[in-house]
Amino acid sequence: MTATSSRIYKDIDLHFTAHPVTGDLVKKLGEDAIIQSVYNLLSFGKYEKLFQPTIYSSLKAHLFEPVDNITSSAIGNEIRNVISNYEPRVALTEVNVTPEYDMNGYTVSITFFIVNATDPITVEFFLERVR
Amino acid sequence: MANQLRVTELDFDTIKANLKTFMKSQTEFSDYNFEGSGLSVLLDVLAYNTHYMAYYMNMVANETFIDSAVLRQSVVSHAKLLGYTPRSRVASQATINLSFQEVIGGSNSAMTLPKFAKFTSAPKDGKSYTFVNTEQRVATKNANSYFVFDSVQIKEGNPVSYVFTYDAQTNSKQVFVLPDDGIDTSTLTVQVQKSATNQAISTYEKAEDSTAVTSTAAVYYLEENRLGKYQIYFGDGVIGAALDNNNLVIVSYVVTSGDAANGIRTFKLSDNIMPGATVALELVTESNAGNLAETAEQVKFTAPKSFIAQNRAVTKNDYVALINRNYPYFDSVAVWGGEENVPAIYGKIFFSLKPRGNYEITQSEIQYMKDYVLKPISVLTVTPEYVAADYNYLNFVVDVVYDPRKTTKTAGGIQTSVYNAVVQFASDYLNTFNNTFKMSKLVRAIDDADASIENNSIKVLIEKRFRPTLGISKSYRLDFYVPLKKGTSVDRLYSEPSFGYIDEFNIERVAFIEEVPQSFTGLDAVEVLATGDGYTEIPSITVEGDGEGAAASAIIVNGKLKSVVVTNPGANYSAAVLRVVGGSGTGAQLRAVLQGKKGTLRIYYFDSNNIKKIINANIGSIYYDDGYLILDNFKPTTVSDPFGTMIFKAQPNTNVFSTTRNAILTLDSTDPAAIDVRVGAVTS
Repeated sequence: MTATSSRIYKDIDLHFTAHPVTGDLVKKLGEDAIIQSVYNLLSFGKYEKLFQPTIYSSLKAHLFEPVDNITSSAIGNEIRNVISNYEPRVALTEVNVTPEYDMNGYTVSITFFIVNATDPITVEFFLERVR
Repeated sequence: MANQLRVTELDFDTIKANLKTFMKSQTEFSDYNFEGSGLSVLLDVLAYNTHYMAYYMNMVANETFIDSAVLRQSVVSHAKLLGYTPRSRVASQATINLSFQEVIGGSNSAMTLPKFAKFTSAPKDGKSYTFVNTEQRVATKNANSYFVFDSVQIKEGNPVSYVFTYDAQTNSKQVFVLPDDGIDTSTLTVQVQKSATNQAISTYEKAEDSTAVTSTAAVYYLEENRLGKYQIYFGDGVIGAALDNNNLVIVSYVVTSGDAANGIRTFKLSDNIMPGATVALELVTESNAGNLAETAEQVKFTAPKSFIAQNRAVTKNDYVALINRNYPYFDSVAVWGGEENVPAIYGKIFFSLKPRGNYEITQSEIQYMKDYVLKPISVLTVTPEYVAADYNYLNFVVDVVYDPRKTTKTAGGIQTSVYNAVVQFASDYLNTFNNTFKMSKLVRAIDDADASIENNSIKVLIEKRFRPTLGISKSYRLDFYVPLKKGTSVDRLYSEPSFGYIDEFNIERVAFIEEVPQSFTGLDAVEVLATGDGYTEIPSITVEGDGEGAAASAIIVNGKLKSVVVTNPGANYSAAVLRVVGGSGTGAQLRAVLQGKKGTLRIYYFDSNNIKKIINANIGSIYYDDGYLILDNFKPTTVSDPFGTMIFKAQPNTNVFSTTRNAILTLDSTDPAAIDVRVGAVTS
């Protein structure tokens, strides 16, 4: 007999929005919780995570470099490293970082499987500096 | 219970782990274990906050006790409760002699050396320092038309003066902050002027003992404030006089660089005090004793000890601590009670001081120490007495054998290394009271001076210096404090340099003193076994034995032979029999005492044929076991030394010796004869 464990991941929403009916804090469940976690990991700067200086991705630093293939490849590596090291719930399959010279940023698409789930999840966002 | 939150942790990691353990017991949120999750961020904030508060509380608790306080302001505040003001920086101090020769035709009969006259030092480490004298001096013109200022003490630093106006409205606590860093508070003077228009000035003293401060006493209090600056404040009209509104507070002090200016030997007067005069400046002691302010750690160490002493001198250590605190210019301080003296003197405490870089201290320093430092705080009925330090100067004759194959140094280089090792040994182990010389330590220090040294042998001589009174017959006692070796015909106690002595023909000879060879085999004393009776005249006493030269004379009281004085102990006796001859009496019986406890000293000179002639065969005795010598009726006419100092050199009979009370073992590194290093190379 094979047993499959499927946990339901439950996290708080870092936007702290209240539930429109109950007024409670809104929960992030399952897939949403994991995606929020991946976003968080990507946004930590060095020493931003208290007493755990090794958990960070230097995306912010890279955004101040010239937009080109080398930087985009470095950004891709950062993303792979931080997710594979600190997010045990996902199996990363693909990270695409495309430089957008005209818009001074990068289109990032990350594809991963949630462990013990069958469907791949793709997250896409546009990375640019805001100052 | 497993899910109970533990509150004893202080570290961030364990606090966070506790929070996670707590989170396990609920089902609402499950993602607390992933570092990227929102919950993890929340736990981080909570754990950080807890950790921060725990750390803060810990620090607050630490600063509450003097043992664990870290911040200087906390330590100083605790010290204040113990009545202790941390010692400020201390200016380096030198002593000089100054003389001024007026321009020809000058008519001044006296001159004044003002307070804070400036002197410039020779550069030390590329920086030259300003020194100032701290008190005004007046000198009258001497017979040679010089104005001479002897033993002027100059301190390193720049004099600074401030005038504060007291305003009762804005400064009700009467606190005035001295704005400079690096103040030597021992140079602080505080004066109060009535007002800008009324120029009556009174000088205020630092308050030391609040029980002695009356409501009108002109005193100020000194303390270090939270910013590390010194501040003064005044009494409240109950304990110490209070200030009146619009009083002017005039403070002056010296801002110093502390220990950086120690060890300077060359100074120049830079103020033009007497225009046109020729200034001569002579060094007495190089600048020394400069020190930085006490650190927080030092305050933590000293403040409780000062509190235990309660600013009272009761025990031996109280005296030592108080002298050092009030006058930090000494290498070593010795204090002992009169009951330790031989013979005991009760009701007195004796102290002896070894100044830094020097051998003697001035009479005014002694008086200051007695009147202002010790007497006010010593126990009633106990009088402090100063005893000059008695120096045992050690001389070393070092024979070193080295292997030239094991070093690139020349014999001269080895000699220098060994010389330096001995000087270092002296500065490490000697120069303090109550210390012990250990030969093995010196042997090791010399062996370690260079890897090529194969062997060393050391001969130690103890040198006593004394100044005999010329032309007056006097007895002297010189203590070596160490059992002395009995001399041989080639190696014995001797004196240096030569002195003039009148011989029996009334001719002045260039004479020396030495130990009579084998004199310890002479007659020490005579014991009277039976006094006999009927002696109307003084009988003669004959000494028969295997030695020669011994003579003794009898003292008769009421016809009885009371005692016998040994007039010449002679030498080479292993047995002696004494006979009483003549004197018309009978029955006296005597016994010779041959203990070998003392030897004889004689005075001799070399005649024109270079033959040794004895002037006085018995000028005194050496007491080997007790380690002293006595000169009887010694009357030299001159001593061929510029200061009239005579030296006796003797060998100790032991490899470990110590000193007590005012005796001190030292090495005079300015004396070229003090260290004699002879170097030989291994031959095979």
